Amino acid sequence: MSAVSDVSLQAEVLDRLEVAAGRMGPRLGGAWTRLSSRLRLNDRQPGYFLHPLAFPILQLPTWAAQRAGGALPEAAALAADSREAAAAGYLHVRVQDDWMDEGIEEGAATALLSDALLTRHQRLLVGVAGDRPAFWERFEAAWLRYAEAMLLERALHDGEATYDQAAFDVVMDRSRPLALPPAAIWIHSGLDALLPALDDYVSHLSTSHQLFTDLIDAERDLAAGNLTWVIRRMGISDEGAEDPEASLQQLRRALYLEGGFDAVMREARGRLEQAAEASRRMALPPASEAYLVRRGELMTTAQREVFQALFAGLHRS
Amino acid sequence: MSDKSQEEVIGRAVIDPDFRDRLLKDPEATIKAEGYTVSAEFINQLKDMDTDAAMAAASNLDGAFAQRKAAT
Repeated sequence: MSAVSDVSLQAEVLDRLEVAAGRMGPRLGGAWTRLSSRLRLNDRQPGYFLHPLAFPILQLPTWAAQRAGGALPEAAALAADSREAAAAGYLHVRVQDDWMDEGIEEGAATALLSDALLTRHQRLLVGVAGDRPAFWERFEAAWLRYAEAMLLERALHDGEATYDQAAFDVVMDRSRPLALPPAAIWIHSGLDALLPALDDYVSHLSTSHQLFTDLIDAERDLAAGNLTWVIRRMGISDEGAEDPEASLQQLRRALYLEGGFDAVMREARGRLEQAAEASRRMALPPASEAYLVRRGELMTTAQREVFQALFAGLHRS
Repeated sequence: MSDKSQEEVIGRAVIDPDFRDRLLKDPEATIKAEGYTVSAEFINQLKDMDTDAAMAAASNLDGAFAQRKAAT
């Protein structure tokens, strides 16, 4: 899928979402308009869903439909419904996440708009997966694990639980619904054998992304008292964080002088390679691998910029 | 002191994480093992790196990737 067609697919999805939102009443529609404006969904170049570090929310259903092949006369319609389902499911999560993280919107508008988006997501997937139990069991499990992940993340943020590797792994379950739209296409097409690799792909990609962003956000998270798994891996504890200046210096030493940044980056890159391996197991179109390669390039660029800055002081001597 | 060697050390340290790790942990031994020629002052600077610039760069990345929350 070329960049040009990515843009057109995104436009198609956003147009469809606007049509669906047109069926909302004025109050719910107002909440949708505020969401759309806040996320700048209509800034379509390159667009909300096509940032190089965004998940391939719209691309995955497209690749899944291409993988299912021309044997399906309705493949284009299935792909279009799956893309909109993916976007609606994602926005359902975004509304909840922004409310929990940043208190954006008030509770009732959040709950009801989020419900409306999940309903749209589900209705579209009914059209793709039909009543096949294999899909709906997967659907229920993915959203239940998402909910558990979100609640654990909340508890971690509020200091009611402590980040460790096991907690980090559970939090990563929040990305599981990303696999539902492509899974619907494959279950419809009898390609159930590809589903384990699809789960691996989503798991590795989301973990890679989280490690990278927590690395970039480390200082800001520490200042906010949000001791992420990356920060804890740098040896900072709740007690240590009570001295902000000392913990900041410890974080910087651990990240830049003692190999912490590179170690986390190595793990993030390893996860990206595992996602690529899963992509190959699914025999996805080459665009999937190109997307992962591009992500890896961006991560390498970021890593080099950080250490260019670290060593720049030596140049001036 | 060899400026060329110093520049080579810095350039390699930026792009080669394994070399960077060894260099920051033990500058003298790493530079000697790799055959570079640098000044004692350069070695001392490596032993006393200022991490503020790196953190500032990470903060700039935060801006550059501000949209990364987009669709994740």
